[in-house]
Amino acid sequence: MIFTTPQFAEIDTALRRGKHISRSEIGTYEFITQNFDDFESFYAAYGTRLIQHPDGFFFLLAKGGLMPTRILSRAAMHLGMFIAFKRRDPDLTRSDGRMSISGLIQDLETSVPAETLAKVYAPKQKASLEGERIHTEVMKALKILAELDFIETSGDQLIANEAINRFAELAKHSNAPSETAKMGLEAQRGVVFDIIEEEMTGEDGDDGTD
Amino acid sequence: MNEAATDQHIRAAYDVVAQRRDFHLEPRDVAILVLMLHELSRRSGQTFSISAESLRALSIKADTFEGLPPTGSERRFTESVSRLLKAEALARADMTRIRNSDDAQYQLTSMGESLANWQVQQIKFDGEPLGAILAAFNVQLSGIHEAAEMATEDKAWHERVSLPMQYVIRELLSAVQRHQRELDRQHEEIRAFVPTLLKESSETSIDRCKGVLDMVMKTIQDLVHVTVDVSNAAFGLLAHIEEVGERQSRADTPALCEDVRHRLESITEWTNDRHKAWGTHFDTVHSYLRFVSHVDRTRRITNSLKEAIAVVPEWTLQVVDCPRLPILRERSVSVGERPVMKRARRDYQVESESLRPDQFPQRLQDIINEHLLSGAACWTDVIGVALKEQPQARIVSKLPELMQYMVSTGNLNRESRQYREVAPGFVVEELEVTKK
Repeated sequence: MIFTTPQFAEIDTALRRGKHISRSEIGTYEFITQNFDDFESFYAAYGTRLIQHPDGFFFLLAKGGLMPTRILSRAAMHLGMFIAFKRRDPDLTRSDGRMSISGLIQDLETSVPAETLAKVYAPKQKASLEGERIHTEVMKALKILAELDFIETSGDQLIANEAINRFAELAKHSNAPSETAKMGLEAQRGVVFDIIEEEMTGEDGDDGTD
Repeated sequence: MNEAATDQHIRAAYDVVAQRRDFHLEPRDVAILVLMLHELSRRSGQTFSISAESLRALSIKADTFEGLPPTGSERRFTESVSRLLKAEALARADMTRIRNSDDAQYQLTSMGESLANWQVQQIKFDGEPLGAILAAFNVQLSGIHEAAEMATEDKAWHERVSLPMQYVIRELLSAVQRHQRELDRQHEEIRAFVPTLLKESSETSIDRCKGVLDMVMKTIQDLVHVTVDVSNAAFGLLAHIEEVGERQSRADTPALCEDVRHRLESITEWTNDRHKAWGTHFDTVHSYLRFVSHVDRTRRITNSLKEAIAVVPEWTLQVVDCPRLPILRERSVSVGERPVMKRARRDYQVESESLRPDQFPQRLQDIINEHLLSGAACWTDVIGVALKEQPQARIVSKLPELMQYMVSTGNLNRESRQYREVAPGFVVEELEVTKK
């Protein structure tokens, strides 16, 4: 009976906050692996599923169940994809996978067209204030990604966890999944295609978390 | 050494000077030798030579290491071959001396092979030297321990215990630290080299990458074991030496033992640190191999991601969100009750002080006017009167105003310009105005 153990309580709280559990948390990861069936049946009662991604990490997927959900803002999505892209640079192995946040922002500004940056990070901002707004939104998005354990931050450094590969779900289908693939992504990976614009822009300044 | 051998060496030395043999080689020439050695060892069978065409390909590969453009590669190839032949690191293998150099076959001479092998040996990453030094350290230490047990006189203790502890062991430990730095440098090179293998993304390069990583991990694991074994034994021996020293009332022993102990601890700490750091690098590269190299060899996913970040994302991810708990305030504001307005304070006392305007300029004007009534006003007379009423510094500060007033109220007498002393040390040029 794992449900009365402190370890279960800790993992359950983390999963309910939308966190992803990767191999880097070896103790927690092993606990879930060993008791996967118990976890699965527990969450099934809430109409929720504990998913083990093919890349190994775990997360909760709730669709129409008792647990509330939220979607990631456009800024968090774009930044997640950018980090997932940067993580695939072989040179990153030299620094043990660590990226500097200031370097990441610089790369973002040089690799992404200015128009896209403005639309994603500062959609309703005057052109003269866009730069400052983009920086603020990137920092906000980084905080969200860290809260969900997609990344780990420490000072000016960040390390992407395995879970960052969730942002490459569409890239695996060359950014144009078939209708069948779309259904699979929605059901198995928590991908959302029909987006309500207000939720996606995260205009409440809290990534639509409330 | 017998006489015949001595003669040979002397003749060889003479020969080198007489024939001006300098074995001059460029770095790219040595790189070609190493690549040639690799190429020959890679080929199955008993091949000992390679064609000019293959050698040209190796030269082009050396060009890429130097970041040189394809233009001029043929010239560089010819020059390299020429230098290598002259230095006798390379030899023509086609005995018939075919005229067309494109049909030539080349082989490594024993010197060329040794040179290439030496270069390969230089980048070999292993902890054997470090392990050997550590083992030697323990042998030395146990020798000192035995000497300490035997030494009864001060002189014997000094020569066989204190001095070896001070110099021999410190030297050995310094050698260990030098090797540690060398291993660090080599590991940094491996860190820089691994991405080039990952970028190639072929089956062979991935296997090589794994091989390099496994070698690094094996080295550090071996080192950890050696260091732990050696340091455990050494700490025990040091404790014995210290005990003997105390028994014989040797005052310098605790400090010497402490110094060696401190150095040993730093060596152990280095090994543990590197075990962790190299382990992290190992995990990072393996994670890369698992999630990128094996899954995305053609870089289709990476390219798709690159395309995706150039446009605004039209999809998102859904995550579970824990329900928010409302934070209850201690005192709730009832509906209709207006919050208390904050007003600016008005209950402070205003204090004011009236200051009289400076009367002195007016007084100076009055003096001028009094003098003008008598027909003329002299600058020195006015100053003289004023000096009786005010200090000199105050008058000096008002002189420009005084001059301006005099010039504006009277007619200037240009003849009266002599210098006069109005007070001790206070000499001014005269200025006289007459009534208008």
